[in-house]
Amino acid sequence: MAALLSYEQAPPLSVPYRFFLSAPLFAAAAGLLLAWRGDEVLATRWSMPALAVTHLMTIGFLLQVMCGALMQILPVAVGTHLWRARAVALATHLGMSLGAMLLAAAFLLEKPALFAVAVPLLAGVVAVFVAVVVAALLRAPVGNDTVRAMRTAMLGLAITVALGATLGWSFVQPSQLPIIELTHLHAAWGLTGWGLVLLVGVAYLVVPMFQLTPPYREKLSRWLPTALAVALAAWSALWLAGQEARHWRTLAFLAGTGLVVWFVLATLGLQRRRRRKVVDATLRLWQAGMVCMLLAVLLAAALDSAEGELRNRLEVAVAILMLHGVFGSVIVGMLYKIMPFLNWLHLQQVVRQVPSMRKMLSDQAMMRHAWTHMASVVLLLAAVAVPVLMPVAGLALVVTSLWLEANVVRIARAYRRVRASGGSAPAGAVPPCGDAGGG
Amino acid sequence: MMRVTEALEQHHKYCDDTFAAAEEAARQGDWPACTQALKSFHHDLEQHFGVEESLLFPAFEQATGMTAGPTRMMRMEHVQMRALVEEMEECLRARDADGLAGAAETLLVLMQQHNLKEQNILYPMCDQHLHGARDLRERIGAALATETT
Repeated sequence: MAALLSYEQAPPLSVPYRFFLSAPLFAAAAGLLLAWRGDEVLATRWSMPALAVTHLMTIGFLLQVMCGALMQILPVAVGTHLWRARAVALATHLGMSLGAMLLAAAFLLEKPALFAVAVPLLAGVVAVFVAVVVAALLRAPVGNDTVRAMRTAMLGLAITVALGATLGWSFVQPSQLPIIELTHLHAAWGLTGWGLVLLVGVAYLVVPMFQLTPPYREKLSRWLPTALAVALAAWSALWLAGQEARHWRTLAFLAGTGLVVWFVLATLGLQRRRRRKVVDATLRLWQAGMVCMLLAVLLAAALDSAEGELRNRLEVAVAILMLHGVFGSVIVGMLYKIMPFLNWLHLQQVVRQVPSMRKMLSDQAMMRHAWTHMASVVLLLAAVAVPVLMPVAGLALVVTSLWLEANVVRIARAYRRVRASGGSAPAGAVPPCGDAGGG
Repeated sequence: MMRVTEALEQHHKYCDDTFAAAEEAARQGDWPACTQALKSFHHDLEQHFGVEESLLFPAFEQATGMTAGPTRMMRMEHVQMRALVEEMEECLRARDADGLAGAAETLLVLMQQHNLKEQNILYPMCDQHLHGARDLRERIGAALATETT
């Protein structure tokens, strides 16, 4: 009975907000590092600054927001609650923040002692997070396509972190493991098995919800996450099988590429058929994310036929497209929808007249930042082709990340202000209609 | 065999359409069309809530003995959605396009996550506990059909 009723229990606002408020600062740090040591990042993805930038983005920014959003969305979408949500959020948030900083420092300074702290810390907090979410998913009273995608994504996250921890530990204690192959697997599982599968599962929910599009076709929504995971598992096994399996590996890669293209075209098609004609920052950022995903898989498909410096550059371009262009864009778009709504929802409990979502942060403010975000993606890609632009592109990433931080803080402050004022609109905002006196 | 809540689930999509028409008319500044569309949306929404609150929820509460559970939460969200529709209507009267867009956006997200919870959790529970309640299914279907045709 308790499980059936649990969907009422949305977690406290502090659970997702602590992640949302700190994450953009890590993306800004990644931008700073790009501006400072961009030439080394461009030279090869295997350079230490490149690894530091990558992990500031993936753990510091993307993973943090994804964890916060997942903890928020599970009770609503799946009808299940998380064990000790507040404590788990606190521990995960602190562990990931500290872990991301230590890991970036470990790469930059090449200090085994820092890896020896960062690796167990990150592996530990992710293990706790995965255990809590998987336990909640297994208790879920419903078994829809999103739940299935999230289960697959959690497996992807566990594999990504297990591989990452193995690789990280090799800096502490040199091993005989095939480091290059394992790094390819670590990156592929992080981008696809975790990030992409989670994005797909979330898309099933929010693409039809926010723009009133038709639902995804059942064939796609039921099978895509599993098919992606199977293609990835086959590709991984073939990587470890060595050069003889090269052609089979290409085949598995093409199968995965086909699945991603299918998802992108389906999403853009649904958005074109949306019944809600309003164009907002969230819609534009989702569309930008889908275009970047298409470009990323096309460039990734070209990787095998490229060599030397061209291959290095292409790899960096794929990383920019996936991390900042796909996941970054969708995350910014989602934050602009989720945070104002959560403000509104929580204020409903304590205040009589709650200002609407748009009064937490105006549509124009979101749109201005959305365009800046997209411009920074273009600038970073341009810098891959014209390296002299890298300091400017790095600073563009700093600017857009700090801008996001400022907007996220503004939304969180709007909550406090309305709560403190007992229901009048945030300073500088128009009061709700019919409330001429301002509450 | 048709589920007890099937007609309600279909009706969610119908309400989405009338909502989108009202929002679009306001966005274009077509106030007469917006007045008409919002009136029609308000009517559809009330009809939907009415069927749930007077037919489905009481039957579920009686079958399960759960009066403080999901149905209480759904009733509470109905109150919140009604308040937002009223806010939209006040903005319409004041010809306040921005205010209307803000209230509409909030209502949309609230309504969609409400529908999600109903379709994912409450309706399957109702279908399970009220399985075979053919009379109830027909009454729900009839109540919604008279309004949507």
